[in-house]
Amino acid sequence: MLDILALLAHGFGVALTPINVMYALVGAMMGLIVGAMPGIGSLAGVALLLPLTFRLEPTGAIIMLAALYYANMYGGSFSAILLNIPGDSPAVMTAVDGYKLTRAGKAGKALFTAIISSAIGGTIGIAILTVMGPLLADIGLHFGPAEMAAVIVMAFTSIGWLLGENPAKGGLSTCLGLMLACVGVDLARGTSRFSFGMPDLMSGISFVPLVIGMFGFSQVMILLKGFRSKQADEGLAAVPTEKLSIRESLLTRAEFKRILPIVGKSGLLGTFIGVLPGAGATMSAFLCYILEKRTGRNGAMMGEGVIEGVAAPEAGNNAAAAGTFAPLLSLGIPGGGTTAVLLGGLMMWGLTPGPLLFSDKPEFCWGLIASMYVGNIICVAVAIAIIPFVTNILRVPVRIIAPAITVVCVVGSYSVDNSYFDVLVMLASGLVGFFLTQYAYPTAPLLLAFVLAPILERSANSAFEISGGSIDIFYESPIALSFLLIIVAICLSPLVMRAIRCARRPRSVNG
Amino acid sequence: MKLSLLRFAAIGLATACLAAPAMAFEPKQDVDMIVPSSAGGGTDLNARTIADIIKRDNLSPVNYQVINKPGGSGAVAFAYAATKPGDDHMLIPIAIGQIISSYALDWDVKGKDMTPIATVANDEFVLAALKGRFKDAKEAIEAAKDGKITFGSSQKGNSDHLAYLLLNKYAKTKFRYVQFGGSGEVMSALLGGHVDVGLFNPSECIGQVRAGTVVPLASFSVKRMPGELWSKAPTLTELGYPQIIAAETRVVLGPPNMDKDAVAYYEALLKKVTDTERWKTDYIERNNLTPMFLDSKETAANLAEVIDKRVPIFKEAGF
Repeated sequence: MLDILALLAHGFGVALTPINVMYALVGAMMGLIVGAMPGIGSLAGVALLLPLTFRLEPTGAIIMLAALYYANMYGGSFSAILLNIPGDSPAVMTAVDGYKLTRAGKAGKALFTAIISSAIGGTIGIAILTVMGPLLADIGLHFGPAEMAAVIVMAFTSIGWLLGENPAKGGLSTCLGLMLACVGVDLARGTSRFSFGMPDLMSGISFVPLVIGMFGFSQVMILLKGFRSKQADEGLAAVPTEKLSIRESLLTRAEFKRILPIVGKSGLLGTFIGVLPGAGATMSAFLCYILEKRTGRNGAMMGEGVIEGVAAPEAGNNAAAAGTFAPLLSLGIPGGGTTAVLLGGLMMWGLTPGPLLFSDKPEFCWGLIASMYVGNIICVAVAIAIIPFVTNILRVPVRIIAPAITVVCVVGSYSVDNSYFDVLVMLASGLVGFFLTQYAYPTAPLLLAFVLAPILERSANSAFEISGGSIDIFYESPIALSFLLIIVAICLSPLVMRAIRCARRPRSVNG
Repeated sequence: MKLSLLRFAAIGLATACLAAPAMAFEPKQDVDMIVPSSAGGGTDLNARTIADIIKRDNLSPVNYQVINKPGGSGAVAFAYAATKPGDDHMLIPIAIGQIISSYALDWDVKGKDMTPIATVANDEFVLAALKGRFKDAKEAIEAAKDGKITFGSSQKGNSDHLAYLLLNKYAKTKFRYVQFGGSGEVMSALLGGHVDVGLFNPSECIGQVRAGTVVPLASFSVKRMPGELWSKAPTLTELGYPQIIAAETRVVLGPPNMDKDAVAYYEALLKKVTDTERWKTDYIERNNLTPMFLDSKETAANLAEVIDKRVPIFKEAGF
């Protein structure tokens, strides 16, 4: 432990040199912007910036790119909360409660909650990374395909808690998500399925245009539907917002107490999910939201616009962003798309990511870790400072903001892959999203199913390929078996609860 | 009348320019480099490095801009290129695996429809396992005859898969193919003991190899790979299987029916790029690639060899 502190102190020495603080600042600013713009996620941001950093020395370069990566998690929540357009996929769950808060005139509070939760969640992730990064990476290795499949099945089971008031509608929405996820590559054969001969569908429907359409573009239609000429000059928030100052956005002590345990829980869970192979910040945000909805004191209200619904996913996705660095630094294995690009960067700077990196280049590794603490503070400061400015967007009249959002949606969905087809996907999913919302079908289960199904299919497929088609692999692994038992427990719990209640009732009548 | 006279004069001038002996073709507008995968991948890096070297060393009068058109593991980019036959201002940097996919997965537009321009680098394949799992490649191949040894790889219908099929066919092994979402996941599974061997490009496993946790058993290359980390691993040719050769060759294509003079121009340009010091040190060395340059004709011959002789193995394997 003392060793770690000494190394970390050394790392702070590296991270706090003026030039490295500047790199972190530049990275954080760019990350906030990239995150807030729909369509450009951390992956594209890091990939585009990478070639420019080859002339820098590696520590400064990766400090900047890492800052871009985790600042992205902050930025994504801005457009999710203000406009109901998640800036990148991990912010999807934030939009659900965040935008409702905005409509209720509490945009400032929602943004502040998002920033504080991101900061604390991220710091928990970094602290865990500092103390037990290599250990955590080793635990991650125990999760092979069979174990991952079991984890995802558990996540699927928990979709039930997101279904809303009408389980049938929620179930239909989940099935729609599953169907959409089936388009693309058939893993068992490698060929494409349900692509109807269109090359654009051969690798499936992209998530970003789907999300932009479901949330952002359908939002435009909803605004237009309730459009009366006298409303044209009003802003987005139903309650007229006065000019928001930072002070009004601050959380009260009671509110802070409400979100603190949530942020702690989500930080721990999020870090762990970030470490797992093939999982990532998006999945982490979903699962933290569900965990909170199920176990939280205010869980029943989540989805209606409460700060808990913003705190849980935001803490979760930032913690996961920190968690993905554990396998990257200690094993040289990228946990997701963005870290894969960072891995490429490490090689271009002449470093070899792998088990020896910590001992060969301690100043690099510890400098990076220390810079993540510093970077988080920078992110908080910058993000809070811009709250009053960004909330001005809510006072822009609907007749201006609706066309503006449409433009953002089109540009955002096009810019992911430079594909017109994605624009069509966005428009179509906007239409679907509009009708789903009109008829009170929840969209969150659809998106969750869409994210989880490919990972489940891939993991289950790999597991069966390993076992040669035998199902034994799922219960021979103690980890997979325990997850499967938890699933059984989850499914049986309502029955057991009812049985207990029934058993108690007669006694209370008699006594 | 005045206008048409002017136009006539312009045409005359243009013809005169074309007739000038200095250069048969020179790009007149910015050249699009269509990358058939997303930003940040190996092909993207290849394209961006080429574009950057051309710009910094002033090798061409116009800009080369990288445009990512991922989707269908390359089918989208091929379909796009097929809509612009004869476009002399488009280059498609691509990995040979995607060309193989166009046949193995039977896309509408296939590799041979494109115009080969040059081959710029070679990314070798190694068969690797945890240290101590197998004594050497021979032992692994012997062990794989009973069909219980798993082989981790990251995609079907491309060059990784081809390497696997060649190995199983000619070494008469029964490795069990396990597909993962990417080479990072294959490495996780290998380290976690979930699969027995994995197929990697050198850059995907060099960290583990250097640390000694993972050992390269054999390479799919023509000659032994250089450097102390890799040179101990024999090629499969040395082990007695000369038919088993596979690599992720990096090729640059043009759209269908590209002008012959344009091909010659880009061929010469890419030759100049691959001759620069920066290409050799910053790109080839750092990414653990093997230097390789083939001109248009040689590239066409190499592609034909792979497509005609090796790709049919997918059909044989019932794929």
